[in-house]
Amino acid sequence: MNNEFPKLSSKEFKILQLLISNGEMFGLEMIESSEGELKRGTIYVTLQRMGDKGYVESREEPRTHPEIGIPRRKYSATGLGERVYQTNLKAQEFFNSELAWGGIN
Amino acid sequence: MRKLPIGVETDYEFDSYQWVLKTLKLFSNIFGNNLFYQPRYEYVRGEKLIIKLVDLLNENRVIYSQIFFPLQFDFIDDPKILEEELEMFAKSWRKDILYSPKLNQLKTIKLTIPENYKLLSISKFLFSPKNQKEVFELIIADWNDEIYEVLEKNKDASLFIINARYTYAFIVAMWLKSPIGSLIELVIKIAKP
Repeated sequence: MNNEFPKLSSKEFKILQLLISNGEMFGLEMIESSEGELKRGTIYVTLQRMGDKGYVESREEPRTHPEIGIPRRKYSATGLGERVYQTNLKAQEFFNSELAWGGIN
Repeated sequence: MRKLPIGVETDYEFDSYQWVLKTLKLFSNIFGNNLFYQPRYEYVRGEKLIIKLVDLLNENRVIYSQIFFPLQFDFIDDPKILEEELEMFAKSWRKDILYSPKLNQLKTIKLTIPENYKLLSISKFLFSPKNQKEVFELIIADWNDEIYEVLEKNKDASLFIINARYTYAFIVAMWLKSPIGSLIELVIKIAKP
């Protein structure tokens, strides 16, 4: 059995963090909420990869009248995405804790 | 004085994006350089194409609408003949527009195919439909949203920064989706401690 858990990149971690705390979001909303961590050129490539891994899902949001143009997509975290995020969060907390640095004597 | 952008809204129910671009390019040759083309993506199979001229900043009202049937052109294999047919069609369309009382007031319609749709046609040529739909079209959608948001606040606002930012974003996305870009990214990922 493989004991390794799926590691998230910093961008993937940020995306899941935003989606878990805010629910469904557009890509542009995530860029604006990320305070510079997510960029216009990389977000959709990252979201596509995360979708392929099963961490996020998306649905097309049709334009409502009088808006016209290409429909945008709304993204949300999947159950797997949430679990992977929680695992990475715990690993990060453990790494930052005293225990990881040999603080317990 | 800056002219208000007039959009062309299309409901095309056929799978020939290049064809629409070509047609609208011919229109733009006739109307001048400024055909603002805003396609709607409704991939319902069918046989008709509806083109609407839409005033984007004035409550999006439709100021002209034309329906035609592209299938009659689909059977023309010779590109020269197709071009001549389209040109004739575009001329008759222009005639209709000139007779439309609403459009008579708009002597200087800003008709242009935005640069971002040209980029979209490049990515369509280079990448799969999945990438086109899940990456490149979404960048264009955000790009247009930011443009309209800025123009709604100030009709004379400069779009230079937005256009530069999104052109860069589009090129970065194309690089990342390219085989060399993916390979370099993988190498960096492996090399990272």
